[in-house]
Amino acid sequence: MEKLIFGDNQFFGVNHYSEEKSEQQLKRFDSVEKIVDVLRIAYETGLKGFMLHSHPLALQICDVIRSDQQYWKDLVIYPAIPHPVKYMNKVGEMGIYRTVLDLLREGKSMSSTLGSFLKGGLGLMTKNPITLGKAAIELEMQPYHGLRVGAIFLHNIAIDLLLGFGINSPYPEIEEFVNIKYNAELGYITLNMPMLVDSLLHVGITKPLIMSSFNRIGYYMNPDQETCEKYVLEEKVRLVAMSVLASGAIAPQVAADYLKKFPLASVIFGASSQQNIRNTYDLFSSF
Amino acid sequence: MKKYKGAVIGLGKMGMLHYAIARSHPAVEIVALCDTAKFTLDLFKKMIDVRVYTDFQTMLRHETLDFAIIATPVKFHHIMIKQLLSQNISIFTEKPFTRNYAEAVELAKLIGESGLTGQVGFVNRYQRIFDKVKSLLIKGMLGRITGFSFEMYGGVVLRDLGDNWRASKEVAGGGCLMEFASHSADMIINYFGKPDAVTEAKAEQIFSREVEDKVFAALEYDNGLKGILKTNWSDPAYRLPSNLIRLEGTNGTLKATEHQLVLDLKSEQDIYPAGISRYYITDFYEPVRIYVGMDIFTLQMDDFLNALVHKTLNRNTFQSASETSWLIEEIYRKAGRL
Repeated sequence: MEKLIFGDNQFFGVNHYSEEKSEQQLKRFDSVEKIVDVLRIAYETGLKGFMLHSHPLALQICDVIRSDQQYWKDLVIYPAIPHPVKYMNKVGEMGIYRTVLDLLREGKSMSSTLGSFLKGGLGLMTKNPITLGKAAIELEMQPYHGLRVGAIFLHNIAIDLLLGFGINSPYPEIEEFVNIKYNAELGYITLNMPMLVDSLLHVGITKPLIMSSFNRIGYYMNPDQETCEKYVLEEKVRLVAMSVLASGAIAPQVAADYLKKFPLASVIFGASSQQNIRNTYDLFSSF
Repeated sequence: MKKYKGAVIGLGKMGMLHYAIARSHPAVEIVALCDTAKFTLDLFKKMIDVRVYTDFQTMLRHETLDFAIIATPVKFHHIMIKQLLSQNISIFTEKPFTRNYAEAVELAKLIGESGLTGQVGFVNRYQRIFDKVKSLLIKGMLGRITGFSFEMYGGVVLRDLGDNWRASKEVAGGGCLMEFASHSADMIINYFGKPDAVTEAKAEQIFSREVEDKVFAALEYDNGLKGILKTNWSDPAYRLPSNLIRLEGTNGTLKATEHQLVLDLKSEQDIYPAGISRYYITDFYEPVRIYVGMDIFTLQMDDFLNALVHKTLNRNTFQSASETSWLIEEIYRKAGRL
C-alpha cells in the first residue's frame, strides 16, 4: 500500500467546504489535459499512488496513462467505485429496476473477457443479489483495465447505505471476487468507521482496509472523534486517513502533527498547485 | 425497552436513505417495506429480514404500525397520510407535503386533533449554518430585518424528462418550485412566518414540457419586510443543489450557504465583532450516530423518531408545512400557473 495517495476530488469539483471553491475547480479542470498536467506534477514530486473515482472522465485519464506505460511505470491506481452521482441520478430518475437494465445493456456490449456477471441477466440478479454487486464492479472497473491497481475502494454512498440496512453478508464473497479477478484488495470508504469495523467483524473480516475521515478537528468523524481514534490506536482497522486537511480548514503542518500520532495504513490528500502538492508531500512523508 | 414499529413506503433514492437511517435507530424496528417495484422488494427481501408489500392497503391490513415513512411522489401523500392518521400511525413524509394548500390544511387539522407525531422532510432546517442563522435572528444580531433573498440552484433537470414522474404536473404537483425550491419557501416560513402578500411572481419552462424550471417571486410583510425567492433547477453549473440566503437588517447583513456564513455587522453583538467575520461548516460540524448521504438526514430523522418516542415537539410539523404549502400556492397563483 502506498503510504501517501494523491486524491482526485479537486479535479471533479468536489469540495466539502465551499461551493465557490468547487465551481472554481470545475472551471480550472475543464479538460483531461489539465488534470493530467497536475497528475504529472504529483507523480514527479514522489506521489506514486493515485485515487481515481470512476467519473466519466476516468476512462480518458486512464487512456493517457496507458498510452505511456514507460513514464507511468511506478504508478499504482486506487479506483473508487461506483461513481455516486451517475447512479444516484439514474436511480432517482428511473428507479432501481431500469438502472439495473441499463447496467446489463452496457455489460452486454463489453468484450467476452469482461463482464461475465453482467451477462447473467435480471433473473440471476434477483436470485442472488450478490451477482448484482459483482456485475456493478465489473462495469465500474472497465476503465482501469491494464493498469496496476493497488486496492479497489467501494464508495461510501454504497457502503453506508448497506451499513444502515444491516447488510454485511456479501462482503466475504465480494472480497474474494476482487482478490481473484483483479489481484487487488477490497477497500471500504465510509463515514462510519467504527460501525463498519464492527459489522465486518460479524462476518469474519478482521482489520479491514478502510478509508475514512480522520483529522485534528474531528470533521466527519462519526459517531465521535474519540471512538475513531480508539479503533485506530487499537489496530482494529487499517485506516487510510482522508479529509486530513478538512477540505482546507486545517493547515498541513497542523494536520501532520496530528496524524503522526497514529498507526495509519496510508494518508490520502488532494491539492492542485505545485506548491501545495510539494509542501504537503514533504510534510506528510516525514512520518 | 419498547421498539416502535415502522414501515417505509416508497423505495426510491430518498426512501432507501430514510430506511437506512431509521432502521439503525435504537428505539425502532422497520418491519415492512412497501413499493410498487417488485424487483426492488425482492432484492431487499433476499438480504434483510423484513416483510415486503407491493400494495399499501394490504400492508396496512397485515401490519400493526406506530409510524410510517412516506417517500412516494406527492400525488399519493394526501390519501396515504389520511388513512395512516385514521389508524393512529405517526408519519414522516418527504417534501413536498401535498399538492395544494387545501390538502395540507386538512392534514394539519387532522393530526392536530390526534396527538400523533407528524413531520415533513424540509431537511434544510437541519443544515447547521441555516440553523445558526435562525438563532442569530432570534437573538436580534442583525437588528430589525428589512430585506431578504432566498436562492436555490441545481442541475436537476437538464433535458426534457419525457414520461418520468418528475415531469408530470399531476404526479409531482409542479416543477422547480414544488419539487426543489419548496425548501426555500419553507426556510422563509421558518425564519419569518407567512408573508402578507406575494406581489410578483414569474415561472418559466426551459426543458420541461409541463412543469416550470425557473421561478422568481417577490414577497412583502405588513411590518415593512420585503424579500425575494429565486430558483432554477436547470443550471448545469451546479453539481449539487445550492442554497444562498442573504439577509439585511438595521445592524448589518448576512450571507449564508450550506458551507459558509459571512456576517457584516455595524456594531458588535455577543461574540460577533463589528465588521466582516466569516465562519465555515467546519466550525459548526458535530458528529452523528450514523452518516448516510448527509448528516442532516440523520438529524432530521432522529428529530422525528425522538419526538415519536419521547412525545416532544419536532421542527417540521404538519402545521408549519401547511404554511409552506400556502406560500407555494400563492406564488403559483401570482405566476398564473394555477
